[in-house]
Amino acid sequence: MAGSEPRLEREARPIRAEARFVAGLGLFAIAYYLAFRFGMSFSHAAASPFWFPDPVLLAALLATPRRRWWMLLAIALPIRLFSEVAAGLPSWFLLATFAIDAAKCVAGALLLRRFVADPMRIATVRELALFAYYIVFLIPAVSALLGAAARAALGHPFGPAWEQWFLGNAMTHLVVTPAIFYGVFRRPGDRLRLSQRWLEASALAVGLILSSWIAFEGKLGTLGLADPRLFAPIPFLLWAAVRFGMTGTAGGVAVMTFFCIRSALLGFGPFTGETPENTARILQQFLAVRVPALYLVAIVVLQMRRAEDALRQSEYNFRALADTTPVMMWMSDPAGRLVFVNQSWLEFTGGTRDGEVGKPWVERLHPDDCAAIRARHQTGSEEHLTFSVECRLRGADGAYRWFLLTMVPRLTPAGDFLGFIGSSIDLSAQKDAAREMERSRTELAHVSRVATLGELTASLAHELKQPLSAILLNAEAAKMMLDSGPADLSEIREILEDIRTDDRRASEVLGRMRRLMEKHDLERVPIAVNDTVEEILRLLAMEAAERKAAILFEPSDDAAWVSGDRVHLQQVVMNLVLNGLDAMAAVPEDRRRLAVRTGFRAAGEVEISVTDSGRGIADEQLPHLFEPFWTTKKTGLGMGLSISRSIVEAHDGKIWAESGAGGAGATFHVVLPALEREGA
Amino acid sequence: MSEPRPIVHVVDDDASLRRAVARLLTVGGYEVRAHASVADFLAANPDGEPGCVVADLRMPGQSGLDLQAALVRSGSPMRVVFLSAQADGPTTVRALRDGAEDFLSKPVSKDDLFAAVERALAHGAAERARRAAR
Repeated sequence: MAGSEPRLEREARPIRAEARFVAGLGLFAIAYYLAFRFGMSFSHAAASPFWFPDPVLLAALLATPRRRWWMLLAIALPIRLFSEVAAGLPSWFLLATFAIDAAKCVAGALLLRRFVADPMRIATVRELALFAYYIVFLIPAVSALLGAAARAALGHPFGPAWEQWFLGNAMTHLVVTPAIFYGVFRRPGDRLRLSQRWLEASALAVGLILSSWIAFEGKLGTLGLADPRLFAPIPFLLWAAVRFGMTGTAGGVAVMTFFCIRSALLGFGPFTGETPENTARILQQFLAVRVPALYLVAIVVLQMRRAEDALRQSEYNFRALADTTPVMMWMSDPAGRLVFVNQSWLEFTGGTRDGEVGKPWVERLHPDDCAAIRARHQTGSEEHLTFSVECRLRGADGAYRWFLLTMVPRLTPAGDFLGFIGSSIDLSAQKDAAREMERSRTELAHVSRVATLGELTASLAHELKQPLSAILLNAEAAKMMLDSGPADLSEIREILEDIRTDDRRASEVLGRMRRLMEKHDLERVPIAVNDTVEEILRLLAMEAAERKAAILFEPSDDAAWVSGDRVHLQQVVMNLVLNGLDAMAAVPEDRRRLAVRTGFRAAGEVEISVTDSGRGIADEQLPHLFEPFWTTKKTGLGMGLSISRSIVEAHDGKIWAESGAGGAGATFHVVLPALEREGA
Repeated sequence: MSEPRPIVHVVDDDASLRRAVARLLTVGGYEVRAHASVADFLAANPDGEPGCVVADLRMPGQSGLDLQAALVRSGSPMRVVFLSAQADGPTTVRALRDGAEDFLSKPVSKDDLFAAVERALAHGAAERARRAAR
């Protein structure tokens, strides 16, 4: 019958749900009849001090979807009009009072649904206040005006009728309505909590019944309202409020009320007034001063417990979250001492939670990283700044691993600094991958370099054979001179000098080749761009001559320095020059000109450019030039430019190609960050 | 009328090698003239004199083969001895077909050089004599 039942679920089990609803209507009919009968049993002469039909109808309305409310009213109306309880009262009066009751309950149900999250479970002090204001006070007060008017028509005075009607309604909602809400309409959580503590619940029930018996059942006509025995149930009611919440309190109040009413009806106990109206008022006053306070205690305790639960849940969630993440997390106090570490931290450091807490987290840092991080930690603490930094932390095995630390300041709501929340992502895999990539790049660059040099064998052999031939011929000449008698020593000296020069020349060629052939990690040191380029151009000069092309080197006027690797940058220039020579193979020999320039581009940028006089590069090819295995040549792997780009990028530089207008040659640009050199 | 002394022209762009070749031939008793390029050699216009040429095959600008072609065109009886770092088949065949005296690989030995120069001079002289007889 729950109004909030989802549509899908209802359609999935329509028969069962309908059967339950019909059974609910039957139970409502019985309950309403009994409530009406018991409510009317006090007196026909006055408004009832406890008007039981209202709580029953209100609870039924709350438990029923609004579109079916008419069914409840249709059941209640004949009970009010035709049952024997109503005998003797005029029909218009019965109809009018039913209309008033129906209006109260519908208004009450609408208000509760509007203002209380779960209308039958008052969860906060605010909801209790709203319940008290609307249900206990406002609706009874207003409806009593109409009820009193109806009773006045029967001949009763209006003033007392209003008061009786109002108090009767108000008392019922105060005492009975919560008991029905909590006692009849169960929630899954209620059952669980009670079943776990049935022994305590039983003890409480026994105590409550006994104490109520003592307070209200004694045949002591003279027992005054100040008699201490009347307070006997109070400890048990407080017990119920503190330990069993609203369910226990509502139940306890119902028990106590039952004994109160019983003693009042039987005419003993403290509530014996001279008239039934007087008795009722005494009873109502007695309950009115006790019950709201008990509800308040129950709700406050409930709210505190819920807040504690929420806090515990939040704490649990936080811990579960922190412990399940592979990221190391910790919290530190303003002095940098750990106040919390997560599971990943414990696994990495091999410590225990208790052992780690209290230690300064910076103890884990690599000594080389300490100073920089302490400084940032200091600034972060003072200015409440978040910062990220790459650093090494010492693990359980004593080895350091790379992490990316992010430190977020912890602040109170008022903005006071409490320390940092630190988290760290393991960068080892990234660092390893980067190292592996670097190694592969070096390897590939080397293979490519050797392959390129292999293509240059002919020109390199020529380069080497020149000085070797000269040496041999010079030696022969010297020998002949010596053989043919006394030689001119100055001429011999000249020959030896030439031999020495040629030997040095041969060594230089070999040295240049060897440096290019060697496998060699890219290491960045300050290098002079002009020297570097010129040296490789010298090695390539013979190749260019072979191909009937002229290389024109235009070095920058000012010395340009970069932080780089000489061999790798020479490889880039070599690739670009050989590409340029290839590009010019199809143009007439006298127009094969390759210009290599060095210079400053923008501030802080050094440029090396290679311009050929070939046919240029088609626009659609430009974007693909630097892709691996992309080639237009019949020979070669197509790796030259791809490797060149990876080398340039490892130098934090850029490489790109431009094709001259009208297919007039192509220019390759390499731009590298310039190095500021003292005195340069 | 006695023939003037034959001249061995050494044409090589590589100054060091040019000097070494020239020096050895001089010590060997030849009259030697060195030229840094084919253009220099042709500008010296040695057509009328007896002699021969020792030229590097590969030079920037005009190559050894260009030099030989120029001699053939002008009808010079001078023979050419080529020096080469790496003798590749087609180039050698072409040079020899066009009347090259010899094709020597660097580094070249003294004896090979002298023998080739001797033959070139002899062939050149014979050619001159043949032309004179006509």
